[in-house]
Amino acid sequence: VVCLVAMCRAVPIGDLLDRASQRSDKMHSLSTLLTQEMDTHFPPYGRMQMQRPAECHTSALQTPNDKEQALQVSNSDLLSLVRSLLQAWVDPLVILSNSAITLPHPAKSSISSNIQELQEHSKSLADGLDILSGKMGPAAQATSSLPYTGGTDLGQDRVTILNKFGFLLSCLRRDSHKIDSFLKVLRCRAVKLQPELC
Amino acid sequence: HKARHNHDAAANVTGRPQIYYCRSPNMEDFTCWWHPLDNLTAGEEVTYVFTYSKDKEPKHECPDYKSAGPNSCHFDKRHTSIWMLYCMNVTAVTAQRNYSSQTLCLDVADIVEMEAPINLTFSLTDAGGDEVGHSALLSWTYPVPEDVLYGWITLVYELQYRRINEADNWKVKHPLHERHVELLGLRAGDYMVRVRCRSHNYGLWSKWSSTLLMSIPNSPPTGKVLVLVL
Repeated sequence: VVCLVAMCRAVPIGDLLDRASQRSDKMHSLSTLLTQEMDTHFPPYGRMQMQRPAECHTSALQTPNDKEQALQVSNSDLLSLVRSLLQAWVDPLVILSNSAITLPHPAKSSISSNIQELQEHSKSLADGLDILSGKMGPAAQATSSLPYTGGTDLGQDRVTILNKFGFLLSCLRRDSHKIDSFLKVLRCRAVKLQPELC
Repeated sequence: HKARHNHDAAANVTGRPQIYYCRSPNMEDFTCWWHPLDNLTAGEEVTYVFTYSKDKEPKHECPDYKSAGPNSCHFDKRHTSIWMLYCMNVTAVTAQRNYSSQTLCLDVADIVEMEAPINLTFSLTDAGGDEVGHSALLSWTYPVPEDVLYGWITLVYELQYRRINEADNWKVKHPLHERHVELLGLRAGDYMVRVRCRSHNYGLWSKWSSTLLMSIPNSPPTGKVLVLVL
C-alpha cells in the first residue's frame, strides 16, 4: 500500500466502516435475541396492548424504507442517520439496563447481561462513527436530536412493565436493523468490491 | 508470547531503545515491548518514558508500565481504540542525555495475534466400506475462550500433518472453522500433526501448537478382521 506518511496516520475509511458494520451486526443480533427472549414468556393478554412501531421515539426520523431508497441517500446523510439513531438510544438503553435487573421475567439475568453487552457495542460503535464522521466532512457530522420522553419508570404492575420493556426492545431491534443496513451500504460503497450487493 | 519476547530481546545494537513487538490477544487491549539500552556504563541510572498519540490527538504517557512486565507498556480496554492509529515511541532518560526510539505507528487490528491451540488429540475411526487405510479425527481447544467472546474475533484454524520421515512434505487443511477435522485414508505409519489459528479478519497467525505424534497401525480395524476371518 502506497501512501504518504501524513495520510497513513489514520485507519483507512474502508477499514473503519468494516469494523463499524461488525459492531452493528452484533448489535442487531443481540437485539433480535433479546426480543426472542422476551417473547418466550410474554403474557398473551398483554400483547394486545402493545404499542405500534409508529410510536417508537425514533419514528420522527425520516429514514429510507427499503434498500432501493437507501441506495439513493448520500454517504454523509446515511452516516448522519446512523449517528442520530445511535444517539437516540443512549438514554433508553440506560433505562432498559436499570429495569432489566428487576424485570418480572424468568430470563431477566440473561436479558440484563445481553443489554449490558449491547450498551458496550453501542458505545464502541458511537466512538468509531464520531471518528468516521470527522473524516467525511460537515454534512456527516450533523445529527438529529430524538429525545426519549417515556420517562425512566416503566410502570408499576407486571403487565405494564413487560409491555413497555418489550415495546422498547422491538423499537431497538427495528432501529438496530436500520443502523446495520445503512452501515453496510456505506461499507459496500467504500470497498466497491461487489457493487451488485449494494 | 514469553518465548518470542526472550528471543527478540536478544540483540539491540542501535544505541537507543527500540519498540520491537506489539500484540493484542483480542482486539480489546494490547501491549508493546521495547529493547532497553545496552550501552550503559555500570551503575548508570536509566528510566524509560513511553509516549503515544492516537491519530492527531495530543501525546499521552503510557497508562500502565507494570502489568506486562519490565520494558513494556500495556493498554487496557479503556485505552484501546480500534478506530484510531497509534504512534508511539520510548525515551531512555539518563543523567547525561536522552535516547529516543524511532516512532512506531500501528493499527490494533494489525497486531492481533491469537494464542496457539492446545490439547491437540486424535482418535482413529474405522475407514469403513472399501476405503483403504484409516481415518483419524483430530480435535483441539483454544486456551483463552474469553478472548473471542466479544465478537471481534472469529477464529480460523490451519492444521498440518506429515509422515514423520518426510520432513518438508506437510499436508495442509485450511481454512477450518471447527475445532476438529477428520483425515481420511491415512496409510499406516507415524505422522506429525500441528495446528495454529488466526482471526478471520485481522492480524497474524498464532504460533504452532505442540506437535502431536500420531501412529496409524498396520493391522486393519477389528471390523475388517472379522470379515476376513469369516
